Amino acid sequence: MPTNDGFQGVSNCYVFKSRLQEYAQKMGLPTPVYETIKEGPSHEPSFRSTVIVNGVRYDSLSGFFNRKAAEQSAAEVALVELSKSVDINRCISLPVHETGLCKNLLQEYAQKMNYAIPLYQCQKDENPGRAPRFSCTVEIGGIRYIGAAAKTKKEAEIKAARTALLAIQSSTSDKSIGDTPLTVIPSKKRGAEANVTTRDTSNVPKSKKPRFRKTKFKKKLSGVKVFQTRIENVQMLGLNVGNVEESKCENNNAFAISSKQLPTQPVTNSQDGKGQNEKVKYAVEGSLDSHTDGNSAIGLPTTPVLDTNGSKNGAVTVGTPTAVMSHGDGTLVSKNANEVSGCGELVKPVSNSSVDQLEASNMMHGRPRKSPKPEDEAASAAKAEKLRAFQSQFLSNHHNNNYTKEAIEVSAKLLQINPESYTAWNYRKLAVQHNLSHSNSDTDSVKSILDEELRVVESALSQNFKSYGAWHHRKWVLSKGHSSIDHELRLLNRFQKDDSRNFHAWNYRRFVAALMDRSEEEELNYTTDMINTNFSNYSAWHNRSVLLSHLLKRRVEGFFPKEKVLNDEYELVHQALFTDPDDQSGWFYYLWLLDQTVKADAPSIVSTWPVHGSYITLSGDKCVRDVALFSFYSFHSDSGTFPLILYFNEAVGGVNSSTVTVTSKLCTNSDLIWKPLSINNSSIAQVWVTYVKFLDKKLHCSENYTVEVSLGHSQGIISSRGFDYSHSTQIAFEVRVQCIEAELTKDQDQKISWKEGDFQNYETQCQEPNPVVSLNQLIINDCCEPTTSNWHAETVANEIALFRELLSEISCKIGKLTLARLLRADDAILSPSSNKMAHAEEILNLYSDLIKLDPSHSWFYKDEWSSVFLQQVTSNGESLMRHCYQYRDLLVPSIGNFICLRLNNLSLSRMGSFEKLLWIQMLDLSHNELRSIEGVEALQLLSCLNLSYNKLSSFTALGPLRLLKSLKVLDISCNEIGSHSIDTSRYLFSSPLSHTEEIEWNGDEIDTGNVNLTNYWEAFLAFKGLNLTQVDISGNAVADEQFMTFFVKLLPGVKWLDGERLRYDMSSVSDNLELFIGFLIL
Amino acid sequence: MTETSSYPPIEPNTFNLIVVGTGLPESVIAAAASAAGKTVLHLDPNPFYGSHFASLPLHDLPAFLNSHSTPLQSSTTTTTVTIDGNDYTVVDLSRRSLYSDIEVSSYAPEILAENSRKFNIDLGGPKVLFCADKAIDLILKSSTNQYVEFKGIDASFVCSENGRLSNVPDSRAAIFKDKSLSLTEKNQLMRFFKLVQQHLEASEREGSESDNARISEEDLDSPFVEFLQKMRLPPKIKSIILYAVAMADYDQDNLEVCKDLLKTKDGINRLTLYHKSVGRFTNAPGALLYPIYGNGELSQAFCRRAAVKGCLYVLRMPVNALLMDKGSGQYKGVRLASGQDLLSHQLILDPAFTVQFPIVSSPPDFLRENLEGLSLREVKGRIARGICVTSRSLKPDISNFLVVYPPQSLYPKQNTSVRALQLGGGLAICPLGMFVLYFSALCDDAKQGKNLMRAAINDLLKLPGSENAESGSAVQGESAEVKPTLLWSALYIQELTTGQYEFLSSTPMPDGNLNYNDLLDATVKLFQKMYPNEEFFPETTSPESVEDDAELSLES
Repeated sequence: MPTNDGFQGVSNCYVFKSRLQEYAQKMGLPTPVYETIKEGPSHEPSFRSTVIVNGVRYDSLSGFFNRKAAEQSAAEVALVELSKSVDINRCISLPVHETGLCKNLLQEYAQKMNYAIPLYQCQKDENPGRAPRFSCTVEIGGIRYIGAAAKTKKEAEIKAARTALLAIQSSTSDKSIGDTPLTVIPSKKRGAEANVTTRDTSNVPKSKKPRFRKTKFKKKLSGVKVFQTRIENVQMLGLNVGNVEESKCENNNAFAISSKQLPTQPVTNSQDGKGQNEKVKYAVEGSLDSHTDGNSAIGLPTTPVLDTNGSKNGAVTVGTPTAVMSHGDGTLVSKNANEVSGCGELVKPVSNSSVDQLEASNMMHGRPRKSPKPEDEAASAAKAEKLRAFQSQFLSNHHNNNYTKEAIEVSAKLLQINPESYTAWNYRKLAVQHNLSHSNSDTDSVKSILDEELRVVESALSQNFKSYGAWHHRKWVLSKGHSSIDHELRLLNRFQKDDSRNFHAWNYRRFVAALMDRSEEEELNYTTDMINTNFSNYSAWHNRSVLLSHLLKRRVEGFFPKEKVLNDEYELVHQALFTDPDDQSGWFYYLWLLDQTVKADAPSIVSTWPVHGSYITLSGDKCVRDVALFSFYSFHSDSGTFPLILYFNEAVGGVNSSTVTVTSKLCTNSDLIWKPLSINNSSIAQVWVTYVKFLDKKLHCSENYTVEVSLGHSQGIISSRGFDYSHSTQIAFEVRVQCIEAELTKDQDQKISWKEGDFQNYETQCQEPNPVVSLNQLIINDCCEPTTSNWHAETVANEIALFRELLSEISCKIGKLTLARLLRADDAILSPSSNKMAHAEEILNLYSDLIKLDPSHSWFYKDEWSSVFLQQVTSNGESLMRHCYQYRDLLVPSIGNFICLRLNNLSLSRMGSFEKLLWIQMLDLSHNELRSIEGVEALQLLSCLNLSYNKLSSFTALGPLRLLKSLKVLDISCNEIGSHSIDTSRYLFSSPLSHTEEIEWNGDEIDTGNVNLTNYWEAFLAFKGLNLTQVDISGNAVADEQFMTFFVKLLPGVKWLDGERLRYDMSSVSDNLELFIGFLIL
Repeated sequence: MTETSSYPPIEPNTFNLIVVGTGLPESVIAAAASAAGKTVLHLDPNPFYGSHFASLPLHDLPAFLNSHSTPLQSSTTTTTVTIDGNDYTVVDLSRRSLYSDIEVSSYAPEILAENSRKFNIDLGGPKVLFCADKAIDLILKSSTNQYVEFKGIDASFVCSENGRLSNVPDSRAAIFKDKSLSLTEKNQLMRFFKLVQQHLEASEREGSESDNARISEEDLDSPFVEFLQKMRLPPKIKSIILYAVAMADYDQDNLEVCKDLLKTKDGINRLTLYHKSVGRFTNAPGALLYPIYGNGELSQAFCRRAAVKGCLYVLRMPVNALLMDKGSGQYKGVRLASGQDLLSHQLILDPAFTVQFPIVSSPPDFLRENLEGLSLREVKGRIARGICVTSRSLKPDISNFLVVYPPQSLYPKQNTSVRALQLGGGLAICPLGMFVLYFSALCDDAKQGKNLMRAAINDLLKLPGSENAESGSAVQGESAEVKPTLLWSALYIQELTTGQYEFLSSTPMPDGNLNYNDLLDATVKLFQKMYPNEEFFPETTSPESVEDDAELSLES
């Protein structure tokens, strides 16, 4: 973990996004879309990203410390993957430098390297009698590159930029020093030019375009960004609204800051529109990054860092220096009478100005920072001047590999002013390596070299103790060997005293603790101290949870039994929650605790289809069903297979024919292929399915075949947290195949209408046992191990009482949310099997309250509300039957059974309780507010689905449909597909990550005529394998004429489109069917 | 004129201002006047700085108290003197009795005598500074901080209804850590603190009259205790806020005995002061500070500050009489014990001084009126003070802390709160290993005052010889340990006087408050009346801030 941070993130990644963008442009593909996910606790976020190019997702490495680095990594992966295919190679291998993007890239590079903005100087060479030629030089990082002559000024600039990039890139590729993670080093080849004096960069060419336009665009973009971040947080933290709020305001804050800076940003040169966009986006992301990454950076008293925006300006913005930490070390007033002993610390009030600084340093978190005073600006300008002087000196040392004492001293001075200068840190790394290799390894000189490094880092840190570069460098130095690690702890204590929430320090602390093998108990005590000092400390709480889970897992002396430890933790966190319910950090810890309390370790099975003890009637392609049979337990399949579904309580992996044994005359166990139902193509899933063929066997009609499924007999099914499915489970049911052959009737082509009049409530005439009852049998059957104590139940009950008390005092959003979650946990604990929802009404009311109280997160609460509501509906037979209807026409054999579950008009924002609805074949979810149908993939029997009049906004949101092999009728009319330019569904619903489409997609596979397939790749992905016969898609923005042409070709089996019968040659239909069966077996 | 040999003459003999007494208010005025460019002569009859604000060695303390416990009559004859051709009436000064009912007991004379000089006992204790109070601001503004250093007071305790001492949950972290509050109480208390915080933030915003976050004007004018009631705070928390945070003196629930009903506005201001104090200095744990070497250091620091600006200091120099203009009766100068006559435009007197009625020869009427006014100086009340020396801390792990006994916590008829402050050797006010406890409470008369003192002392300490240790002791019950034994104690009643600017100006005596805010307000007022056109310590670039700036600028 400590090795995979910051550095790799930044190294070498400065061009990938642009290159990928360029590739996409070349190929006529849509702009690559990045989905970046913030992970980890909010005080210590890490990022990973997925880029979607051409419908394929490429995942970055994880654990980046900033968003941009993660995106670059994703782009890199994409490029590597893409370059494997030939035609793509053609595109990418061409140097990127052919286009105007060169200037962008160079600009980006300059930002990355903290250089001043590239400075272009053009010269017009007038040759009499010929058109004038322009030649241009660009200066970056103190080096001047000369481009070839060109006809226009713009072209000349591009050429100069290209020269520079080529030089920079070639120097990067041949420069590698062992495994040291170094950033790009500017060209060595250009050494001769390196001595060219750096020009003052402040006279940047004036913008040609009006500034306001640009600013406006930026604002819009950053707005979008804020929104995304917010959403991501919802997702990452599961149910944590608190954090959402936090980060929202953080982002807003950051936005305010960045937008303030924007107007001063000069536009260096005119570029084509595309490039401009790219650049603008960068600027916004950059500024957001710098404020979100730090997590607490809002109140940061303007670090004296040359940020990228600043360096763009030429006029460098260096904020007021961070408050000086030294204080209280004044000398005693001399008085001979007595001696002052050292108990307690001396307090020496300092003069006004210092007090202000102190206050500023106290204003570290979540409080607004002061705007810089004019005199500060003057000071910072002076500082910037000085910095520039050092910088050019430093760079020339760097390029000449000058590692003399004086040269190193220059870098130290530079870092003293700007600790964020990665180049300088890297230079120092090189210098250390150089010096170490020349120090003939005598201990003293090694020690003095390393000590000097530590000293420089320390002084840089006291300048800005949030400098990534400095902390990283320190780790690097320590990894080289260290003289006294105790000193590190002392240093940390000093920093953490100054700002106890500095996550850099916490991070480093973990590193040091691991390095010196400090006991986890000691570190735990340290967190206790920190929490006692200030309990609004995410870092401390987080570290505590990490340490504690280790200690609990290892059953360390004093940390067993778990119950005792957790009780104490509850006690502690209660103090924080009650003292200040508005503070979020404690709530996070509380949720962790609750998780520890409620969650069982081992995964278990929640439900199956067919259910244990049931009696299933199957019918095949040429069979007519016996309508008198119980509809809940009959299934019609054209392909002659029926699914066997296992629904687990959490995602598991390792379900296969060796871990699950199916015993039946119908099939051979080893032939069965179990597939995870996961839209991510991941190898773990909550739902697993296998298909049993029944038609090709010579089966005796009306004979019952027993099928027995057993699992848990051997190890191998493992949850994502690494626990084994342990208790052995037996599921047995009987199958009968209807094989009365009959002529196909014309009715087969009948259209399914979803009109109200076509349904009648099933309850009235229902005689058969409803599916819910039998479902219960299964769970009782494999009821988990007897609980040794009801500690869980008692704890949850106590907690509920406590939070009811708190809520009687105050109205607190997160308190209500927590109570709702506690009540749900209580329901789950009290009646794991009986499905009783004792608290359902109360929970629903709490969520309804929350929707009103906290409108900005109403969607989140709505989702929760929907989920509880559905839980309630499915909790018993009666309530479920109220939503079961019989479809009017009993004679549509191709559709399957005719019990329709109608959950329309219920204001549902998401679907849930799938584990109880596995039997559904016809589902009406129209007139709700669904924005996702995630989870619907579990309903393998589903053949008719009505999603009309919802809020589905993209085809991506319909992704789960891809896995519904039996789906024939789909109504997605009157949604919002295509009306949002940005597909928010990805951010709203889980797991856009780790999600690589493994489709061999060839654009020629479907003759799309003139339609540009790439515009509709999302639709293609969602529908490509489906054998739909009836689709309604009207009323969506996307459904224009062009799309419909594409759509019809995509789904050749469709007979009814938007209520109209398509004229189809039946034979061609069956041909297409053949084609698609290939897909089905995917 | 016979004593001239021991008192060298003071040059020059005319000043803008003569200040008699080196108590804190006098010293601040001397420093302020010096800073404003006045020529100032600062005199003190005592051989030490600080007058009634001094910190004294153990054996000097009773002597000082006793010397001020009996009025010093002077002759009531009026003589006339002529200086530089002007005739002045000489009015003898006399000293009033400021301390009474002094009881000093020593239980370990040898040890104490040995270490007597290692003590710096405050005369006006218990007094502390709040980190954000006016005294600290003044010290910073006047750059007096170079001369004095502080240490934080580690904790404060309040005696709760059941007689136990519990921590004062005065900050967020303290509420979090507090073991005696229930979860709901924590929530209520913190919510109240936040309410006040929001009110203040809203008040700082401009044009936010209709702001919901603000406490209504109506509430602000209502008694604080009612407001707390309205906020549905339970009695325990109310008591903590009223007496241990807002430091109310009188029983706020009993209007009959309450002489000073705290208004919500004031209560909130005090709360704010407390809160701003917590965490103002990163190395002070709580809200309170104590100057190393005792409160006497403060007077001394201001004297040094005044001296830097040219103020002339003469200690051991009693002032015997005032010189009045014979015609107008206006103050013109003073006659020193040395016999030297000095002239000045203004005079500030130590509160101990008064003017005896000249009975025999009748001065002109206007003079008589002035003098009458002077001698009828209002005595605002009395304060009982107690000083105890022990050889063990009350609490095993901390040495410097405050204890507040809210009204009725000691006995039912206790009308005013008693505050006790324990300080250890680390503050250089007593030998290491010993502890000094200061007690104070407002009282109407000596008997009441003494009762309050004794009750509090008995609650905390064990008197030598008394075996009655188990009688409902808070400390013992709590930590099952024996109470510290008393080594030395002094009890006395001090008169409370306010400063005045009339015919003659005099400064106030140490008041009953824990901090110096009221005293400094009175002092500033006095200064402004004296010099309406002068700024009280004009804002200057202090040497230290110049230094800071220099540090910030980069070396090349």
